[in-house]
This record gives sequence, C-alpha cells and structure tokens, in this order.
Amino acid sequence: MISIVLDVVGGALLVVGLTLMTISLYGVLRMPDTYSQLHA
Amino acid sequence: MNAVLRVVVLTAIYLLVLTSLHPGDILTGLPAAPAPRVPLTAMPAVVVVPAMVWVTLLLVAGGLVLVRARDVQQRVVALDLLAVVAVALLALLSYFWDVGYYLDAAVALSLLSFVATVAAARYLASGGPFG
Repeated sequence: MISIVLDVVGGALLVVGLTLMTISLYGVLRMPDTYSQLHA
Repeated sequence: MNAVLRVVVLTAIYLLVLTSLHPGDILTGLPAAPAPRVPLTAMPAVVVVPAMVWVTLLLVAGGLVLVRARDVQQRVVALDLLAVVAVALLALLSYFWDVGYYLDAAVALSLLSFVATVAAARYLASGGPFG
C-alpha cells in the first residue's frame, strides 16, 4: 500500500519537475534579452 | 506521412536502445547489465520511460537554444541549461537501471557546471577571475 503511494507521489513530482524544465526552456527559447533568459 | 512514419520508427529504435542496452557495458566493460529494477508495465516505468524521452527532447531543444545564441552570455546561459537537462537525464537513467554511480556523475556534472558558469560570469563582468 505504502509503495503504491510512494510510486504515485514520485511520479507526480517527476511530472512537476519535467513541466518546470519545459517551461524554463520555452522561456529561454522565446525571451529576447539575455537577462530575461537568465530569469527564465 | 513518410516523415511521421520515420519519426515513429526512430522513436521505437531509440526506446529499444534506451531500455535494453546498458551503456556502461559498452563504454567501460563493466559486468553484465543489471535487469531493470521494475518491470516495464509497472507504474514507475510507465512514468520514467516517457520522462526519459521527454528529457531527450528537451536536450535537443537546448541544443537549439545553443545554436540560436547571439553572443557569449547567451551561450553561457544555454550551456547551463544543457547541463541541467543532462543531470536530469542521468538521474532518470540511474533510477531506471538502479545503478548508483550515475548519480555521482550527475553531482560532478552539476558542480562543474556551477563552477564553469561562475567563472564565465566573472570573466564577462571584469575580465578575469580575480579582477
């Protein structure tokens, strides 16, 4: 039971991390200025 | 249609290589590859294998950022980003193959990336590391 909960929590955290990385890479690709890219 | 088929076939080959070959065997001649820690139908593999594919796509996009960079500062930012994506891929491979030393490589890579970024920032700001 606890292993299923841990699997689900781990998968959710993985998806959150991938989403954040994707958002940041999209920001670096789209933002025009170097400082804006650093912010992304 | 032909291009779609080509992408599907290449993705299938990539998945097969990623999930069946242990790169340490080829590169270092280490003992036989361990079996994947989880069967491919279990919950973590269902999440981890698409995550590895997605991180690979992010790696390609990071290369695009590096190619599109216009000056040195943007290249430094792009290289930092690529190091982050590579660390994520190493962590996923470490979990998937259940080998701990991939995490050592990930830690070393992140430390080197941090030092390289700080050094590049110092050079760009003042012309030298101690200037």
